[in-house]
Amino acid sequence: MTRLAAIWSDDKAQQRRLIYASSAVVAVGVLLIVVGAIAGWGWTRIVGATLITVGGTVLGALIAFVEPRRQRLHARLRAERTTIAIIAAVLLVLPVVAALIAALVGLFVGSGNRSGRLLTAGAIIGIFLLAATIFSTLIAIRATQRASLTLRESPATQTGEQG
Amino acid sequence: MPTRQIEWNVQTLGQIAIYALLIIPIGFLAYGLARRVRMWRIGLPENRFDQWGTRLRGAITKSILHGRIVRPRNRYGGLMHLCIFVGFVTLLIGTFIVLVEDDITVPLFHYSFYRGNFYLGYKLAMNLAGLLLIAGVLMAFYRRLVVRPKQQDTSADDLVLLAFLAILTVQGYVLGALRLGVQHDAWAGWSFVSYALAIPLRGLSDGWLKALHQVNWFSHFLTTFAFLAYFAYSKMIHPFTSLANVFFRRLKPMGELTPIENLEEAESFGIAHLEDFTWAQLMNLDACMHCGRCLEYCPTFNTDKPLRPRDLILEIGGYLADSGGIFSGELGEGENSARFRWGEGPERELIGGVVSTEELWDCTTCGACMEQCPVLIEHVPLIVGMRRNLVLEQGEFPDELTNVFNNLERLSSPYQFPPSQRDSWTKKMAQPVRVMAEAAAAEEEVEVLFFVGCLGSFDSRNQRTTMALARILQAAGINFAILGKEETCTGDPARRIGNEYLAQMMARQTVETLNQYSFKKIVTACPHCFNAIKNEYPQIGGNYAVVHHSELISQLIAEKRITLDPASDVASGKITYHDPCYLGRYNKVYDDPRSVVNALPGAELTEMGRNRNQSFCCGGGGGRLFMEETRGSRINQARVTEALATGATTLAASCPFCMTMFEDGINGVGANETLQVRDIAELVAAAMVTTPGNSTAPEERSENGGTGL
Repeated sequence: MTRLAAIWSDDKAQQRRLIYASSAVVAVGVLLIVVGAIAGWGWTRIVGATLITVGGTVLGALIAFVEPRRQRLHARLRAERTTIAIIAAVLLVLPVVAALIAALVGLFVGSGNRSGRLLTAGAIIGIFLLAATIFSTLIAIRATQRASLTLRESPATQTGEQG
Repeated sequence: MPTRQIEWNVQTLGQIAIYALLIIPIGFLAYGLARRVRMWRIGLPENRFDQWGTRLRGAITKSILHGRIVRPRNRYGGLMHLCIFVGFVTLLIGTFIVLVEDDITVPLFHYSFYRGNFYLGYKLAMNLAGLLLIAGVLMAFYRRLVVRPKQQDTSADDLVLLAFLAILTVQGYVLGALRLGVQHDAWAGWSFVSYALAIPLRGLSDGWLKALHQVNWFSHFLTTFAFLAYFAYSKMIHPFTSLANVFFRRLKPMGELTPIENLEEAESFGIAHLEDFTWAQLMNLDACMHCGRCLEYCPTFNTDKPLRPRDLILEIGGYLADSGGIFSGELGEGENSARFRWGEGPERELIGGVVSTEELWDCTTCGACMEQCPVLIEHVPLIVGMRRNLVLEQGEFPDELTNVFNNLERLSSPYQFPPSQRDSWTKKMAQPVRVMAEAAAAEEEVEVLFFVGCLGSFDSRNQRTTMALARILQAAGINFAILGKEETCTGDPARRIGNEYLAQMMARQTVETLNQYSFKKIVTACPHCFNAIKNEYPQIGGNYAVVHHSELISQLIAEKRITLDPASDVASGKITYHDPCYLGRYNKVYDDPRSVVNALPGAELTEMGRNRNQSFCCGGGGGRLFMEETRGSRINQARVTEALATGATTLAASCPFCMTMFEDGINGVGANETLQVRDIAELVAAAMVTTPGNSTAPEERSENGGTGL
């Protein structure tokens, strides 16, 4: 615990050591997960996940306390946010949209021994969920695009890194 | 037995990927939280680590149980949030339950609980929670895109978060449906949404369904990870920051401003840099989730003035982000930065560069923002802190205040009257009024000290209230006295304006005077004096039992120590009552003034739309009584217009500041013929059965049109 207190202190050397240590903890966690999955050991998952969670938390917190905020990186991410939003939407939303469309297609194909009432309920739910998904996605992309259109050059994004 | 195979149709690579990738959302979340904590730590120390039980109880009731979120006037927004909260938290707990089964109890203890009735109940709860979450998200979309309340701005961040929640829920249902499309569980009906969706999916081949399931399984987890990674950069961080803000809330009375300690030795005054805030105040900035509730009853927002409490918080929050923190809503840079001047860099002055002086001087310190804020952000102390810097360090304040400061310093009152005139009103009284110094000299006991206040002493309109209260006290046979020429300003206006030096001087002077005498209780007709004596004087050793005149009069009526004439027509026509901010919001006195009005013979109390803790300020607090109102429309006229809309012919008040503001407001809107403003003491005194000798002097009666006042 006293070593972890370095997160709060200004002891740069100790903080560096903690960064290496927490990175190692994460690496061990990942290794355990991989080995466990291949070997079929169930117990390694919770141990590995705990190590990754603890190591990741300490690592994230340490970087936040030790490193300056990378404004240039953030500015670049923000500048590309519409593209990121569109790519993310395709990757993350397309599968669920495909599944919901498949459900609608499924109404007209396959065996006929399905209850008509349940089919109707399924169709209504499918259409509703599909509409909600597409609507939410489009709204989010449009809002992101609108936000980026009003982006202005600011001194903070030009000066690069700062503490 | 009812159950399902966890990670059905998921291959080893998927199992490895999901746990190994955990580092990304965990790291981002920890970074985002720690980055904020790092910025809070630049603030000054302040002890908010006491009374853990009270803090925990408050955090549970106010935040988790939605005590401050679902409120009568915000039912739609509150229920919307409750739907999202309950749905989200239930689904989150559901995910952990699966994790416990799959990663802990089965592999470590060979014990499975995820089956049988538990499993069926779990499935039902998860399906219901999903519906609740989607309903909440749709309500939020409707509110933001269709209703568009004027106090609510919608940024990209708001909509992206709602989209994330909707998509995650739909993905959950679809995953369940795809599995049930292949596995025909007899108990599938418990997952009623997924099951219904699975029926049409069963028209497809198992191969297709399994392929779709695998892709959707990956996309669901990637969406969850993206959401978690985004969490800390959006206002979704509020479950952490807002809960922390409520937990570490200030437990002192709302009406107590923290003084500047060791004023004589202080090297800087007030707030001019981020380092001048306390850590808890900096946490306030990150706790704001832009809901705009602080604007609903804000007098400056509602009269189109530059000050908007939410924007003030976000402007400073943006400055904190520019200085190395994180703005809760970074995605919205551009629209947010234009609105809150965020992203303009840290090389700005806080006052003038981040927050304008107009914003600071427009505040009436009414506390409507703090009362409404669901996460207990304290706007007023921040504003007063920055005013302190303007006044004490920069010597910058509205010109009108120069005379106020001079008068306070020379004459111990904001007005240009000599102290010798403080008790001039007593000469108009039929019965003599005792002065404390004389009573003490004669070794007479005094039960109640009547603290008159500056407006009640010098302002001719408010002197009528003072005399009315004195008559009531006399009629009730209360043994009371006043300080007379010894009375000085409590320091309230100076403190709220930011002249802490003068405020402390006034307060010490008053406490010194009060401590000379022996009495049981102080009564005052001024909520500002009441608040200062009750909540702030203990800071300097002045501990007194103090009541507002509305409380005392209510008690006297209840105890039948004064009798009201049933034939009195003083309350003819409708009466509406205005809650003064420093009596109501700051000290929670709402019922006593109303019981006084209701006791008036024939009284018909009709409430204005904004009342009690949602009252609308008169515009006179925070030193605004002494300043010109040059921006936007007039606050007092807005309130008078609201009073007129009730159809009332009398606007009852219980504060001299409000009385003055409303007299002006009534003149301003040209309603002199239709509406009169009366203090509740005046109404009671006029309706009171008087005994011979217990009345106002003849000249005063004629001045008031023979009404007895």
